[in-house]
Amino acid sequence: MLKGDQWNIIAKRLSNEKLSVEEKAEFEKMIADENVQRIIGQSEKTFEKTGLFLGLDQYNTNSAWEKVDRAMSRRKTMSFRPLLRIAAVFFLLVAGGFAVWKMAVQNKPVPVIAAHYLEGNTQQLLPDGSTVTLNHGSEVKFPKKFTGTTREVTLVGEAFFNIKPDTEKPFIIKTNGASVKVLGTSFNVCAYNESETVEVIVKTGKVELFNTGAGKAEEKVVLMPGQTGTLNMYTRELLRTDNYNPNKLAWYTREISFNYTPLGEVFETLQHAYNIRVDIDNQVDTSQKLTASFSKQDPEYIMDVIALTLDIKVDQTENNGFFVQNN
Amino acid sequence: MDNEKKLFQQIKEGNKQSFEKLFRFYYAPLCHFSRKYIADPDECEEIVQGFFLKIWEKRSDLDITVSVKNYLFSSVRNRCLNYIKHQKIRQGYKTDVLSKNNSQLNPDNYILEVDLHNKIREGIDSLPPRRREIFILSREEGLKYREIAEKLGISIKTVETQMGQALKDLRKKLSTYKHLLITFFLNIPGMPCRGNVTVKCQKSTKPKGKN
Repeated sequence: MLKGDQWNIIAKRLSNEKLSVEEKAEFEKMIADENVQRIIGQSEKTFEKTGLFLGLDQYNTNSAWEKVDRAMSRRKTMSFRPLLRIAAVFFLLVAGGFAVWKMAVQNKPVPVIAAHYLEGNTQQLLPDGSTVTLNHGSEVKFPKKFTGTTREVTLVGEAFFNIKPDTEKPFIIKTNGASVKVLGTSFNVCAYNESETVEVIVKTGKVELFNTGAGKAEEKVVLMPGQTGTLNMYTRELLRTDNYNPNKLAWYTREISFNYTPLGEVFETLQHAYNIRVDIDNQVDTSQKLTASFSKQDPEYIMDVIALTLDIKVDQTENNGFFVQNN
Repeated sequence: MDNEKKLFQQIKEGNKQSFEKLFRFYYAPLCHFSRKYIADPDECEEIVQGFFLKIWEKRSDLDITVSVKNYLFSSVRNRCLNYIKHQKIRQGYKTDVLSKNNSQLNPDNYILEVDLHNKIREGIDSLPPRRREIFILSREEGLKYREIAEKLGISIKTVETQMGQALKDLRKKLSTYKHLLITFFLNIPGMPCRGNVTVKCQKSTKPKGKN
């Protein structure tokens, strides 16, 4: 029905090419006919659908699926991997008595129950009546029953332990390259796999932090209340300092205070405390100081307060994140 | 896709086959959609793959109140916008993509009915080689007639003729298909740039290195 030239004009028109004066006149003549209108409509749809087909055809779904499939099975064994970037805190809150006890270097496999928690603040009861509260991305492994002369668990990540006293059976927490030993106490252990340091903060009581890295099994520091012990995972250096930063325990206590703290550090603290992601536009001055304290507030509230106080703009993003920029 | 809610329920329960089905159906459309925001196709694929992995990891926590389709497309859009934000931070330049593209979401513009998909493949494959080449340069790469003529060392007139013929051939091939018969959009005068045509306009800002 349509002549070759007429098809050319329709194709040109649908390709957003400029029509000449004659072509334009011809096109207007054509569309007066209802049948041609229908054909042009179908042509537009044809172009649209073939364009979409060609667009979709660039993507190789098969190879993409293979890639995703592999990643799925990889992540099964390392399910907390994305959350591991937080600095490690070995926070020990010791309430009970403590006896000096020599570490037995033993690695005999015990049947374990693995408690994995990806989200923060979940409490788990241990077989001896002790409890453990896990921070996000953390995992603790323990046997169905504590047999033998010790109570041994392994930890990746950060956790708060509340240990039932038992002088006959010391409680040992093994982590990657460090051990913590107590007889009965409550304390918080944080030892993320990929972090540079293991830190122990003691509130009350007495705790020992052992360097169990290769060849240095006997090295330890004894920590008293208010002290921080640090084990550097690379240099294997054990350090003791006489103070601690309460904000590092905020994930558990939900108590945060800033005292003339640079904004950059404020966001770092909040990221750790709430397992949130804070992205900062590079226009924002992160050296400006904030003084404020928060008790049991949710991160949205805190970010709102910061935004108002410092006159910056905070937007919530997907997955509990925040984006900070100047107003 | 039919029964998406049911499929999603199966995914929540850890059914990998259902997950694969969802992936295979939506992967290319979501990649294609994200090109609206991000010029680099490899980045788009990374984003969409990362998103599907996240779905699988978080499957038990997922609760979808809208349709599965809208959930997928709006999540990918958010991921693209986040990506752009991070680029902005890294490179320190301002871009207005964020405000410009946040308007409306129309997933159906990116999903091609399965049977139509096969029909179009047949149609394009049956075009004579030169015609097919010209047609693909125009429709996929978004090149102007002049650019095609220069690239292939032919006259613009030839491009016009081949495009006209390609349109005629393909429309004939597809005209029996219900989707073309039932609906047609005729926005005369001044047929606006919309649907895949919009995507085409986007692409032309960054021609790909094919051919």
